[in-house]
Amino acid sequence: MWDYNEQTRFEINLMATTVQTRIDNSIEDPSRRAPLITGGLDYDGVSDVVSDLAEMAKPPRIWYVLLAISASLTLILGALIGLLFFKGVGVWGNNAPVYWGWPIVNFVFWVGIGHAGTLISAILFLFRQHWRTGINRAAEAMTIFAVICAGMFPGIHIGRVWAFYWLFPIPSEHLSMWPNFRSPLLWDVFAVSTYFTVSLLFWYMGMVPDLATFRDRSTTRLRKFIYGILALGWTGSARHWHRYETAYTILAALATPLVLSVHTIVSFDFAVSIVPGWHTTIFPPYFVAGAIFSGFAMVITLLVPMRSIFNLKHIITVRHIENMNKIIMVTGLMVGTAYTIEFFIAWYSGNPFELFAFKNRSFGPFWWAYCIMFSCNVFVPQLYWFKRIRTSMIMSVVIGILVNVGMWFERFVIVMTLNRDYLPSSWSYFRPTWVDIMMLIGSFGLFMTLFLLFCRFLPVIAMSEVKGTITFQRNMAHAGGYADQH
Amino acid sequence: MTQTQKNNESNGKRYWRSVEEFQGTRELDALIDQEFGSAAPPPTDGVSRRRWLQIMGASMAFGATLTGCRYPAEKMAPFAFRPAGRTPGMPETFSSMLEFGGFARPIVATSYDGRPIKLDGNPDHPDSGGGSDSFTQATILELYDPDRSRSSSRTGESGQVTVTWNEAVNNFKSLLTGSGVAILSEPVGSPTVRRLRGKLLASNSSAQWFEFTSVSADNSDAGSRMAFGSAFRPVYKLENARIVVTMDADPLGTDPASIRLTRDFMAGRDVDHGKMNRLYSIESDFSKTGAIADHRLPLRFKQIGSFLAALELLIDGTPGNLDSHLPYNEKVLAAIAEDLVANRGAGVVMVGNCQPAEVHARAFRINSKLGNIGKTVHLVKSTAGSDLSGVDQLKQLTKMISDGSVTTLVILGGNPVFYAPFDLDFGAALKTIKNSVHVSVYRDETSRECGWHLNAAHALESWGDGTSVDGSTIIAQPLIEPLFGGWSTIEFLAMLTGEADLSVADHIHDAEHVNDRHDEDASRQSHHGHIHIVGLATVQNTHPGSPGSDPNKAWQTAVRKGFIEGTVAALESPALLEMTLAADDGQWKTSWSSGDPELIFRPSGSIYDGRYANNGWLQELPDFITKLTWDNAALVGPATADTLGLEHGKIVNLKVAEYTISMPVYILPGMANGTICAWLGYGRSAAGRVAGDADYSIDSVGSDIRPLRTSGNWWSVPTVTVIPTSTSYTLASTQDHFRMDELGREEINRRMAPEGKMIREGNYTSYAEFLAKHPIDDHGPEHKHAEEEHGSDGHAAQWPEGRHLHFANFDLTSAGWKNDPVAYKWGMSIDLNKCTGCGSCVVACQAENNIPVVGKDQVNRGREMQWLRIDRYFITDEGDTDGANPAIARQPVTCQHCESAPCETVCPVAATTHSDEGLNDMIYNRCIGTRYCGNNCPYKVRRFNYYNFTDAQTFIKLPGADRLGKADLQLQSMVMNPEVTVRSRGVMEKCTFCVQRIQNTKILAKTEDNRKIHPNEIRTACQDACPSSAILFGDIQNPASDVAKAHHNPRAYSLLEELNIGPRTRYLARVRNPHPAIEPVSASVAAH
Repeated sequence: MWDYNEQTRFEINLMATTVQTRIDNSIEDPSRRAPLITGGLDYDGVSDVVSDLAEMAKPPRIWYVLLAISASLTLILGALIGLLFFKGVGVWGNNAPVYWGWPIVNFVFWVGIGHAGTLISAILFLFRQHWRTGINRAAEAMTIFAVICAGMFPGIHIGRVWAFYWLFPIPSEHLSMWPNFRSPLLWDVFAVSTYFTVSLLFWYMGMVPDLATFRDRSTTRLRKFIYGILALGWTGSARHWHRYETAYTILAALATPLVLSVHTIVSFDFAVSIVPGWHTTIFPPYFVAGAIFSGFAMVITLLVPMRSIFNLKHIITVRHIENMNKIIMVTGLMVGTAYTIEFFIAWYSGNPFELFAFKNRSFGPFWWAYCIMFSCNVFVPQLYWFKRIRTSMIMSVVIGILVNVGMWFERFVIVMTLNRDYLPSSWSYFRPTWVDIMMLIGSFGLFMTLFLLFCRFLPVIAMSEVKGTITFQRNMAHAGGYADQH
Repeated sequence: MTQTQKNNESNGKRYWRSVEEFQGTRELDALIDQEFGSAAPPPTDGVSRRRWLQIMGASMAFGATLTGCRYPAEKMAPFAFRPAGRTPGMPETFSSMLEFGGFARPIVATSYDGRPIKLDGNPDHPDSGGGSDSFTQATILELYDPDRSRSSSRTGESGQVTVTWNEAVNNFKSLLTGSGVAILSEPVGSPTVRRLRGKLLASNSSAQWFEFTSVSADNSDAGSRMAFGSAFRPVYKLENARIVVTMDADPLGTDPASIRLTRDFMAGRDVDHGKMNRLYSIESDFSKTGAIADHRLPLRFKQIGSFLAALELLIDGTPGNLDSHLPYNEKVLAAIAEDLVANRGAGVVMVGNCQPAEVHARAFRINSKLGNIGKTVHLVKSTAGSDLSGVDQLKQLTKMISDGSVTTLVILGGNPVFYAPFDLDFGAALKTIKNSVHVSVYRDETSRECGWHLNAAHALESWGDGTSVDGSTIIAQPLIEPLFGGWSTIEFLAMLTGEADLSVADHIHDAEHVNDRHDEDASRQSHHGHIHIVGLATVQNTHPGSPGSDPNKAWQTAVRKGFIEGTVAALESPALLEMTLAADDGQWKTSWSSGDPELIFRPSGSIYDGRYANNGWLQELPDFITKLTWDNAALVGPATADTLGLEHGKIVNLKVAEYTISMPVYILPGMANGTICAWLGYGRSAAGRVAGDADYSIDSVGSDIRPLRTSGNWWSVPTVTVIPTSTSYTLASTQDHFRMDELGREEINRRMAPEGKMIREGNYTSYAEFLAKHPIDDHGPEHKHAEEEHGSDGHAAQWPEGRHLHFANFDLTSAGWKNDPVAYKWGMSIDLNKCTGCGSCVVACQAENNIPVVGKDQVNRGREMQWLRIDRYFITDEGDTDGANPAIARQPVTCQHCESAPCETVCPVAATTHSDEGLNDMIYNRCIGTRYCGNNCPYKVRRFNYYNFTDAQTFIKLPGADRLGKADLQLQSMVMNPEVTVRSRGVMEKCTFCVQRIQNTKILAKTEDNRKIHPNEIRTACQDACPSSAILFGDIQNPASDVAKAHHNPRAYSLLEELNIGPRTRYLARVRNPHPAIEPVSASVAAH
């Protein structure tokens, strides 16, 4: 164990004299590029820092506390799923006009969260955004876990859960027919399962060189065995690297359209229906923007505490956070535009049902949910116009949480549009039950449990890629970018 | 055991040879002993499977051939000798009778394998014409109610002792010859009971017979005594009436004659053929009749008589032209007078039972003056046994009990302890009598105060007779052997009066407690047969048939038809007496603005006076106006509520003298200012597991209003102290109440009227003009009107006020489903002009399609399961945010079977698909319950099984359901229609257009030389039940079918047709007939 005092390490390694100004890589200096990794880590240093989390004998106490809380919530979730299976969907608050309630709200919410990871790892990779390397692994892990949470809800929300596999096109005598390929719910099944598979593959493949590092550093036989199997015999030969990078690029190219397609198809669940307030063409882009918006907010919410608990501040730098905050601001504006355009279209379409659906959303019985949604998603991210807020870790977390509250309420507002559709006789209100509430909280428990285990046992930073950016950083220095670093 | 019985036994065994079945029987027997053994008092009579077989066999026998009843020994025979007309597995129908409000209702029961599962009106009798009401429909559930009394008992020294009927008969037969004998019954409609009453009273001159019930025609009888000198009952001929004025009367709602009155009223409203009456409704509550009235005037209870006095004055003087500047009340009064005078002999003034006798008397006088008597108002002799009102009779009886002059009291049916005026404290008086007996289907409040309780056979289990509205004699035949044993009232009386010989049944009763089950079964078998013979013989004695003809044949014809022809009561034309009635005091003009309001009592539209309280179907049937289920409430108008500080859903305490009742407030627009209305029948403490049973600590459903209903304040309390509280109470209604957010209320108004298109209504004047140009018979599939006639929309055959949309240019649907060459295209039409919102169709659908009851909590969560609902909308004038007198629009909504159904495309597992005949089919075993179809249904007619609602045991929320044993559940499941799948939890369901009936008819047609189905051959359950024939069903491409004609009616429109989903159900716009000089209540609706 060595002291993580950034400044000390900085001075030891580089013997630089301008420590204070260089540490904050969020300062825009037109004359030079900001460093992506601070702290002047060399290759070994990166390996040391990242591997240490998995190798340290005892993780920080806060890790245990968090794990205890989230594991308990996961257990509650499990118990409630048991209750649900035993008694029926009636344990939730769903009713006659609002046939879909919180389970679908949670599903769309978690799928949305699951967007940032693949976006960061695939799209930013293709666009050669090298700052992604510091955060992509954790973001991808978050994606996987969020999609697990997301996939769970539609699975358990159906009335006869024991027949869930009828949703899949299984050529069997027993079912003796295909599912209905016209149904958006079926598209959903394909979209989410494909997305999950590709994201998992992408995540795992990207991890192989790092797992090999873990394997090589292992001191116990068990670790060596497990990481050895996971590393798939990676030796780091040039041929391995060549194959790896080709495959990575291909997977990135495959994953990129998926980032857009998943939430597009999720939005079809609503847009393809004839429910006023759902049947709108703006839903696909608006859902994707919202998904990226909430996904990045979740990444921030997770990474800011993580970088401080596990002392990764020099790899996940302020600049990373700031960049993500900028994306949040942009997507927040997109979402805000969508909210506004929806109103315009509702009026412009001349469809009285549509117009009422939107009036009802904002001024009807669920006006409070609409207010939460609008202020969290549109007003709050406007604070990011200020650099002080953009680069403030506390504010980033606060705003990240608020954005996700807002995004959860966005899905709530959309689903609750059902409460007043065509015939006023069937209008009704929706009240969640305690099961609804505890299952949402429980899904956070599941998500956090998985994430905490990930922090402890898997490389949270893509070491090999970060090392690549160090090389890049050095080369750029040669080109005159970082004169004083040279 | 006789030789015959042995043979039958072996026959039976041969038929039911399956070993498993017999083993199952043994297990079940043990189970039943275990289940029923725990109930108190110890029941002796469970329902075993073997018993079921016997019952079924028996009922088949007597059902098929009447003579079968006389030979009980042949009961096991039917499978060896197939009864004529019976095909195993095919349903059979039998005519019978139910009594409601003192009148016999002719019914037809459908039986499957001897098990009655469905009741409908008898189409051959004018009282029904095939229509029925929710009470009739739901009675079948009562038959299989596990809470029915299973045994007779008396209070011994150490609690309840089980007794046999024989013991009771022996005991009371001797007592009845002594002194201090009184008999209390509900008003007697049955000729046989009347005959036995005469016999009994003749044999003991000191005995007294009292009649009492909670809702009766006493005031009308008293009124007619004032007007004519003796009691006459008005029989209204509404089909002949052009002007109908109801004064606190509800002929289309809770009136006992409502089925007939609805049918006749709607016959007089056949707009398509130029018949249109006008209905004025002056009332203090908001009734179904008020909701359909062309002009409705809410007045306080007290003001009604004064209004009628003013009306009489106006009729006596010649009514002049209407001054349009008059206030609404005066204008309505003047209009009524003008209309009545202009339509002498074709008007009716009806007064509700709750109004005092003087008001009735005045109405008789007005009808007489206008020459309506004998034309629209027929008078027949009242069957009341006494000149005293029921309340006065009960008062007298209570007094006699406390005097000690009554020592033996026989209570035949009814539930006087629950119904009695509170001040009489009849229950306490009853307790003091040593020899009291209550013959009842339930061990209810009265039974629990009586020394003896005898479990009566249900009306559907016994022979009987009754008097219909028009006075004709209706015959009741048993449809099944008594499930829990028991005798009918007639049988009991026959035994008491010595008309039947008790010794016939003696040895059977002795054998009843023999331990050998085998013998016991055999004895029961013959025992019940004998009882049927007693009932049958007694009823037959009353109707000996016309001399000279074959009495047997006449009797058989009567039973088959369900009534005896030519027994319609003779018309009376008594002379009007001189009466001095109070002059018009002008009170009706004053409006209430502050002070203590009045409280009125009305029978509930769901459970009437409480006699149907333990019926889950009825408890869950939403009241038409309030849409309230499982509760009664203090109904109060918005303005009154504001004045009194009342809030919707908050408990209010209503106090009169030292008595206070607490009930939730329901704010109902259109209630008369200063009036609070409360329904009878709730708050029962000894009804059963559904409505409340103190013995099992099951909470009562609703609030008990009895403390304020005293003999002095029988129908209304002049002033009541209102104490609002802040305690909230959950009212489970199936539709939003009036006081919702303003945004929603405005939108509802907009969608309904004027530019709204959901419920279309228009004016008779314009419709008549339209029809004059385009006679109704011209309207067919090919008919088009010239463009210049109705605007430039390329006009189809539509009446402009129907506001049919013309989407010819935007019709994106493929021509496929329009020009598909299929054999049949099923479709439905619902005439909004005929629908009264009575709810008969809702319960009929529930009975036909095995729809579960979900309980108050689930209704409150919006999970009611009825496939058919009747939407109700308040339409208020612009600026009338108070809803002082809103119009009401109604619309029964069920699956519309869209041609391009939105539900079908979104189901991921293809569980809902389209049949080539246009049905939107639901495949229950394919459904996994994603509920997407429900979301995407624009009519929201799909219903989801959020729990396992069918199996009450797992559905613990239904009060007391956890106490239902397996045998009880089996008993309940006997009401299930075997043709319809019972749905499990997690499955979506909805209206199928009664696909089982379609399929059965198709099979029938196939077996009959593969013929085509006749145009109107298939009838859905809702169509069968509708008393006004508002619902039509059939093949819409067959021009001969009624439904095809209705689809081309100029009033026809599709709901939400702008969605281009092609619903197969079309609605026929309602036509209002307001007086030309009065702006209709909702100008925006009618004056388009």
